[in-house]
Amino acid sequence: MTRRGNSKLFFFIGPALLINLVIVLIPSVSTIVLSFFKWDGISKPIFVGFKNFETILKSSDFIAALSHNIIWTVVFLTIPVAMGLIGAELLRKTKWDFLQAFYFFPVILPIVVVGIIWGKIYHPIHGIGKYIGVALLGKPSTALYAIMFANIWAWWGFLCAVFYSALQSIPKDLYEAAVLDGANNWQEFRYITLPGILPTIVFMEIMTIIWSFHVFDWIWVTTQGGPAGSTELLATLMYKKAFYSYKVGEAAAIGVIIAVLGMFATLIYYYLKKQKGVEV
Amino acid sequence: MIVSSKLQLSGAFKSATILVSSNLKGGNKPMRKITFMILIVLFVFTLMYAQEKGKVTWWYETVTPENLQGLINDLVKPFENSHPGVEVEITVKDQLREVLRAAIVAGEGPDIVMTMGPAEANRYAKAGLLLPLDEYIRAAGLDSEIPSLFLDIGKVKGKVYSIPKTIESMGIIYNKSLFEENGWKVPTNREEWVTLCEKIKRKGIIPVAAGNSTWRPTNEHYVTVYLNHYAGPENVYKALTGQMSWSDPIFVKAIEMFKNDFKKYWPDFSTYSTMAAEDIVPMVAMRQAAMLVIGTWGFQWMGDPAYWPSDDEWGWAPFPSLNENVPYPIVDIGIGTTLSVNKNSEHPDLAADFLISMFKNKEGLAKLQRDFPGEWVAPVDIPSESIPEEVDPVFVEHIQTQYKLLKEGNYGYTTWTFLGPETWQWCYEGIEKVWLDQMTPEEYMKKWDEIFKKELEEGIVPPVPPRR
Repeated sequence: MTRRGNSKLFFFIGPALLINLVIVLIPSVSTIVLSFFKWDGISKPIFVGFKNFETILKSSDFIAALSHNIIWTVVFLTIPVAMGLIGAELLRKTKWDFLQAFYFFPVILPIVVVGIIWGKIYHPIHGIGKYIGVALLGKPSTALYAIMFANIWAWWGFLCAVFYSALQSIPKDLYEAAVLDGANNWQEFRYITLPGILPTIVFMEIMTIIWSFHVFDWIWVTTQGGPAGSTELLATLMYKKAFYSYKVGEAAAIGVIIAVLGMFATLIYYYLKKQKGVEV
Repeated sequence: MIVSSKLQLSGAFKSATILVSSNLKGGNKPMRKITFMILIVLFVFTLMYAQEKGKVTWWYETVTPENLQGLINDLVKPFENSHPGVEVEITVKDQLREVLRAAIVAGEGPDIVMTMGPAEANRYAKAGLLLPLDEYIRAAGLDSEIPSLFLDIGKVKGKVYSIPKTIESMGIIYNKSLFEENGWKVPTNREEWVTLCEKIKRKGIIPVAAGNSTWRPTNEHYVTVYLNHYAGPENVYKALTGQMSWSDPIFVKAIEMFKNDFKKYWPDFSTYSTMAAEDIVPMVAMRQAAMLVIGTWGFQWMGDPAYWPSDDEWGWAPFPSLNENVPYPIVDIGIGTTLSVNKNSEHPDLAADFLISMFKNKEGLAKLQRDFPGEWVAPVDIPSESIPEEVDPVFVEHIQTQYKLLKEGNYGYTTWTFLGPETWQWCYEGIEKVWLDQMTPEEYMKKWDEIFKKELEEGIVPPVPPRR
């Protein structure tokens, strides 16, 4: 490529690169740096080394929030993925493509709106809580699962759309041959569909792990981490540390831990990518 | 400051005009084009400056449009009318605390700084981000009018940086019609409180309507009341000033008593965690519950048919004494919000003038009791004759009682005003573990004491003025 070509290239990618630098790289580096400082967000930061990490990792609130995140991840790695796969396979079999719009509709709604609506649905006086005799968002044993249920309702349509799109790349004659060989629906799904879209499934599973550790809005709109900390996640804990406790350094440390967990998931993805059958 | 800036600007503009006009007359074509563009730019900047020179900006917390209009009509417009060319611009910010901090620390933010209380305001003051207000307060004579307690708590290194906009206190708002029909009396001591609650329960009515779904720190309102009304304000004062441990048995007993009362007389925890004002106030109005244990802000909902959809009357009373050694009545005094001036304001004098004018405008403050009840109980003496007739007489009774008890020294301390941020957070988060039997009251107060001592050492506990 000529020098003129290089400069043209830079002209096109420059703005995106600049935005990435300003919005992503600088705050990320600042967060890592701040995690080594004691700072209330207002006065001068004081260097404390790894003390913030030590404090956070020993804190029962952090352990509880991490366990909630792990539960969240396990649920979202299974239930909505299974629903998305089944939905996509059914769309392929029935060819009722118009249903995609219905499945996808909750995805486009703002999370704040959906969260508030589900809060009203669960309400013990004005919602289903009155009839089932349980305030689902008010009980520590049910609150997290109630929120996950609402999130799955709003999310599985996205996975269905992604998997259905991936299905289009599977040659149709494979299914025709399978039918001729006497394969039933389950066998078609198990031996053609799943292997055919395995790279997409793996990619979405890894993204689910990463996104699961970023969840904030669902919790904040519905329970703000309550009742009694039963829905506290790492992101909400981080927010409270920064803005309620004035411990920005500890909040940054939690942010770094979340990023490390995300990187770990990414490494798993790159390892799996190299395995036979999963390569993209 | 404004006048001198105008002179400087007019001097610069004059020099620029002389240069430009000579180029326009004698210069060549490109030069004339450049000169013309400079003229346009200068004109635009002058226009911008001229428009901005009289603007005071203020970021306000979440508020209804009606209440905001009341504030504008009663306090803002009178100031603008008496200061021609000056505009006060109020912007409502949903997450005010978070966005305010980011802006102020970056050297930006509004001229009028509204914080959740002296704990927050004092942090900004310590970091040199707020303007000292002593000079302005003295010049306006407010130092002899505002009780010293409310000025002293906003002091950092001897200077005042914030003035409370709202003095609030905890008490009971109850369904007066329900009480009268059943012959129930407002309780004044522990025995009367328990007897009343049991009578209410036997009628199938919840004694205390409460919920924290939209504001989790609501829990601390009740903790405040039980600490002050059982352990006593003197002991709370000693603990706040480090003279007494928060893990002292008297505080542990207060929490134990509260835990038992919460389980018996409040809604069950799972329901409590999902209810908000729009649920609990109508419950009292419709006789599904009998009382609210609530602060001054509760009056913003009284008289609103959406919250009080019945013809029943309401009443207010101080919370009863829970210990024979604690006098009745006392009120637990808090500061809901404070107002300060941003050190980086472009017009600090103008902003300070506006801030002070709000506290001097007694007529406007009186009208706000009608137009924005429960949220603008400023710490100044408002003549009762200036309070509009439409103002809820129960609310007037509450404010007057609050002020009277404060002056007499019969007051306690609210947790949201007098604790450091981490102790405050533990106060309302930890109590849920006590309610759910995940932690004993001893363990709760022990951790409270540990966190408080750390914050006291770090100097982030707001100063508590000596009791009278």
